[in-house]
Parts: sequence; C-alpha cells; structure tokens
Amino acid sequence: MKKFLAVLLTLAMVLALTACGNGGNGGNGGNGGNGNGGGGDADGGQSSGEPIKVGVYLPLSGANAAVGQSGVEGIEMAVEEINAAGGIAGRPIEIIKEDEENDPTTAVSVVNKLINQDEVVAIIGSVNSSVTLAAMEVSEDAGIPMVTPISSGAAITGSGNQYIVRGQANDLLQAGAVVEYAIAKGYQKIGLMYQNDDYGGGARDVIVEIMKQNNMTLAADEGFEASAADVTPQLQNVKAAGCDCLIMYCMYAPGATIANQAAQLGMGDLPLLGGGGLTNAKLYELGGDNVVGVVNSQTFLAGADAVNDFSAAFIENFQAKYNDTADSNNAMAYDSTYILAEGLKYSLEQYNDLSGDHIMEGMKAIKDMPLATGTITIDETGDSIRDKILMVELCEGGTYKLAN
Amino acid sequence: MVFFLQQLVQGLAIGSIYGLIAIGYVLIYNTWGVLNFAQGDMVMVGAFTVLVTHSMMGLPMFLAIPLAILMCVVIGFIIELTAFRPLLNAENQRRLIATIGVGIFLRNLVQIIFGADAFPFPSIFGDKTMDVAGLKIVPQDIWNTLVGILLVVLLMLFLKKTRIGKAMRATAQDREAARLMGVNVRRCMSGTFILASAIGGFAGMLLAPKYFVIASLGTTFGNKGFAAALFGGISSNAGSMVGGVVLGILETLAAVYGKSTWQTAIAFIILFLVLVVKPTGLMGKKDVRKV
Repeated sequence: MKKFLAVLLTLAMVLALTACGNGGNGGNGGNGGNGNGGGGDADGGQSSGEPIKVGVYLPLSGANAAVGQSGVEGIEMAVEEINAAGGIAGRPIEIIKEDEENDPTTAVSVVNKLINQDEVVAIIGSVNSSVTLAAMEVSEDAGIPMVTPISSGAAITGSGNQYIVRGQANDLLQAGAVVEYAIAKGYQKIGLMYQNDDYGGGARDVIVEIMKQNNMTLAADEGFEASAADVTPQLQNVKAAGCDCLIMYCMYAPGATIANQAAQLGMGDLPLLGGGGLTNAKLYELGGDNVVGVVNSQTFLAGADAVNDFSAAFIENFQAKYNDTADSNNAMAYDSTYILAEGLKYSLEQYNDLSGDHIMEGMKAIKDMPLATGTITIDETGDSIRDKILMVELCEGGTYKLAN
Repeated sequence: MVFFLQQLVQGLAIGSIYGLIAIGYVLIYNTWGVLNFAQGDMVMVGAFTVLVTHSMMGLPMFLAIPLAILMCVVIGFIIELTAFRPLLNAENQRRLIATIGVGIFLRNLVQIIFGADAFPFPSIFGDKTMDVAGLKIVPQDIWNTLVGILLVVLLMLFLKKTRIGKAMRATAQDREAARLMGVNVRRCMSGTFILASAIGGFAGMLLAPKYFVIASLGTTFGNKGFAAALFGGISSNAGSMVGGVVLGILETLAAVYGKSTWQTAIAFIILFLVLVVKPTGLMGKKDVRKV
C-alpha cells in the first residue's frame, strides 16, 4: 500500500509539473508535413522568391492565451506588410506557428520541432519568461536566432546566450521604472508581492537593488505562486507592515486576484503598481472597479502621442486591419518582427546567406531604429535599449491613460 | 490575536473547499479502488457549468446551481460509463492512466469550447466585507465553510442511515459479499461515482466566485484536494474534510509566519510526511484488505 501510494504521489507531482496536457499542436495550417520543399537550409541567392521560414511559438492556449493571441496579431500584421513591400531581398517571410501552452516543457518540444522538422532560420517567441528561458537553450544549441517579443525577465539576455534578442524592455528597465515612479511619488513604505517565477522573482531582485541604492528597503516582500487562489496571507503581511503602496509584480490574472482580495480585506485604498505583465484587457474584466487606478510600466500606449511616424502608422493600420486599438503586446510583437526582418535583410545583403550568426550580427547592428514602441538600439546582449518607459494608469471602463 | 484569528478565518475558508474536493477522491477510491485523477477537473467542470447557467444563460442562482449540478451528474455518468466501467477488472495502472486521460480530455475540451483565459464570476453569497470585532469577514467565505461542513454531515448521514447509503458502503467494503447479499453493486458504484462528480462540481461552484473560472483550475485544486484526502485518510469521509481544513489553515499560517513562498509547497511537504509517518492519514483505518 505504501509503495502504491508513493507511486501515485510521484504521478501527482509529474502532473502538477506538466500542468496542462498536450492540447493540439498537430497540423498548423498547411505548414506541417515535412516542411522544406526547396533545397535543404535556405541558401539565399540562387533561389530567389523562395520563402524564408520563421518559426513562431506563443501561448495560444493556457494561462497567457490572450497575450499569445495579441502577439500573433502583431507578427502577422508585420509579415504581411513586409511581404507586400517585396519581402526580404525579394523573398517573402513564411510564418510557422506553434502553441507552447504557457508551458516550458511544451515550448522546448515545439521549438525542437520548428528547428529540426520545419527547418526555420529564426524564431519569434514567447511570453512567460520561464518558457522563453527553457526554449532559448534549444535554439542556442542549434545556432538559430530567437527574438522574444514579450518576455521581460532579466536573465534572458543576462545569461550569455548569443542567439537571443528581445523586443520588450527588460525588467531592469521596467521594474526600475516602477520603483522609481513609486519613490518619486513620495511613498515611504513600499510593499512588494511578486509571482514566484522567473518573471516576478527577476523583477524582485531588481527592485530590491534599486531600493538599496536609494537607501530604502521593502516594507513587505512577499512571493506567491501564479496559480494561487488565495493571496490573503501575503496581503495580511502587507497590511501589518503598514505599506503605503503595493507593487504587484505578476501577470494580469493574479494581479486581479490581488486587487479583489485586497478590497475584501478593506485595503481598497492602497495604491497598486506593477510591471508590463498587468497590461491586458482581461485585467479590468476580472478585477473591475478594484483595478481602476492601477499604475503599471509600459512600452506602448496607443492613446498617448505617437512616439514617431512609424508608431503612428502602426496604430492607424492596426485599427484598420483588426478594428481594435493596438495594445502593447501587439506593438512589441510587431516591432520584434521588424527587428528580425532587419537581421534577415542584413544577412542576405552582406553575406548572401541566412546563417544564424549573420542574422544575429545584423540585429545587433540595429541602432536608433524607429519602431512602434520607441526608438530602439539593440545592445551587445541582445536587449533593446529605448528612449523611455511609460507609466500608464487604468481608468474606468478599462481604458488606459498616461499616469501623472 | 485578531491578526491570528484572521488567518484562521482565511485558512478555514479555503480549507473547506479543499475538503470538499478531497471527499470526491475518497468516495471513488473506496468504491472503485482507484484514485480518480480527473476529480480536480470535475471541480473545474463544475465551475464552468455554473458559469454557463448563471453568467451566460442568465438564470438566477437558485435555478443556475441545481441545473449546473444536474449537468455535473450527467457528465459524471458519461465518464463512469466510458472510462471507468469498461476497465473495472483491469489492472490498477491501466485504470489510473484512464483517470489521468479523462482529466486531460476534460481540460482540453473546456479549453477548446471556452478558450484558455480566465472568466470573472459574480459572488453567490456576497463579497462585501463585514467587520466583526476587528475581523474582516467575507460572507462568501463563511457560507463556503458552512455549506462545506453541512454537506459532509449530510453525506455521512446519507451513508449511515439510508438504504442506498448502506448499500454503497457495503459495496465499498466488499464488492463480492455485497453482491451475494443482494445489493445491486453496479448501480451502487455508478451512484457513488456520480455523487463524487456532483460534489466535485459543487466545490468548483463555491470556488468560482473566490477565484476565477479557468480551464487550468482543476490542476491546482485537484492536487490540493488529493493532498487533503491523503492527509485526512483516504478511507475516511470525515477525515478528508478535516484534512482539507487543516491543510488550508497550515498553508495560510505558513505563508504569514513563515515565508510567503512556502504557501504552495506546504501541501506537498505534508503529503510526504504523511506517507512516511502515517500512511493511513489522520483518521484513516488500517488497510487490512486481504488478497
């Protein structure tokens, strides 16, 4: 009996770890099959007009599905524009989409599939930092460039991986902007609740460091599991510490949970701040009035004055194409596609091939490129350095405005 | 002191839901001799059925909940018919794998129908906080606890006092002997399974307003319920409720007085300790089943 239960326990653990089962990443449109019709890996030059295969892996199901879908919209729009304008040196970009189910294990297998079966020359993805960190080891081993549009975890570009570029502003910038905003607002007792993974934990370290530079310490420092239903213990500690503001560094669903339960505990007046992960229409849907007034860092806001002509055109064209206002995830995915396109173009023009090293060289050569989320320079580690991070505030009805 | 009491209130509220989930495991384990790993996903399905009947069909709660429970009964019956009954005499591993398969199927079916994102759900019993002697109490939580405990008492009365309940217990004790005594074993097993599905679904309905309704709900709470069932004793209905409540309180206390990141780990640490120290759980009877 004991042994039997032990086996069951192991099974339960495995189940807990793999979270979701394998949904359906079977055939993806007409792109499945054995992929490469042409001559092995793309040799450029000779086969003019042959599509350049780019893999995309995003959470199309699972906890971050809404973000994944936003990412797909941005990428598809950029690819359509690039192809309509003649593609990359006359060759169109072809997207091969995979669902990583917001799960690092699944991400590793779909990225393996993209590289080995579909033989893509570069990859775009993903959202959750833990997912991207797992998948980018596969692409690094294969020497295939990966552009992550939305992951902001500091470890992604800080790990020495030579084949990663990021479109999103990393947590060093974002968490820094959030805590600097809080300090500038004059808050004395800053509390923190972070989701205990690469995203929240990474931001925590940054926040602690910046507080230290300002001779401050966190009044409350509380972690929680992203799937936790009950965050009242953490909130109780925040309350007991007498915090005058709370930074909640997590995705939108736990963010709404925190706001709702804070209101139930009579902490509805506590100002709530957070990172880019909070930005999602779902936040307001789940949190309602409790999340009105939440201020978070952001790389893009369609309602604000466009940062440049490129951005203005993006906002307008997005509205026309999807009949919807572009959000930051749309914009970052769109930008990431253009960053990759720049690398592809460089590689084809300078070397007449599409090797990973040459594409990377092209992307890292990007300097002061006007994109939808600002003017971007890619640095040595692959991070996108930008002119500024926005702080936005959620208003009644779920709209955003620049926070003052 | 108020601070400590507040933790107990919170722990009790979440723990009674764990207890309800745990009972589903216990009922099915005792009758069918297999741990039903789809139980957590029945919780999720329950949350979705009430989302459909209340939020989408717009029925008032007193109609929406019975209808949702009815849907859980039907779904439970279909699962029993397709994944449990055909494998009744198969090896244990195969039956276990079948339950895991059912769970994966349910989760993905719901994802296909509703998408993978979270849905908000209105509170059934009110979510405006009451101030009781300095304690912040959400009516929803109190009701969850009361309803949870009431349900367990009713269930135990049902099993002890009614004819069907006795037949179910007899079936759980010894299928062959019960059959010889004229008990309709097949119907009893069906009944127990459906009962467990309905209770699981009901736990989901209580959970829905506290959290959000999301396809991955069952994974998180199924594991907690499983831990609570083993903790309380897999052979004891009352034990599973006790196990759930103790687990809920321990989780809350661990997060407040220990380190907040221990909150989730505590369930599994408890699971390990119980398996090592007292494999029958808090209130479980010693397993004397002979081959």
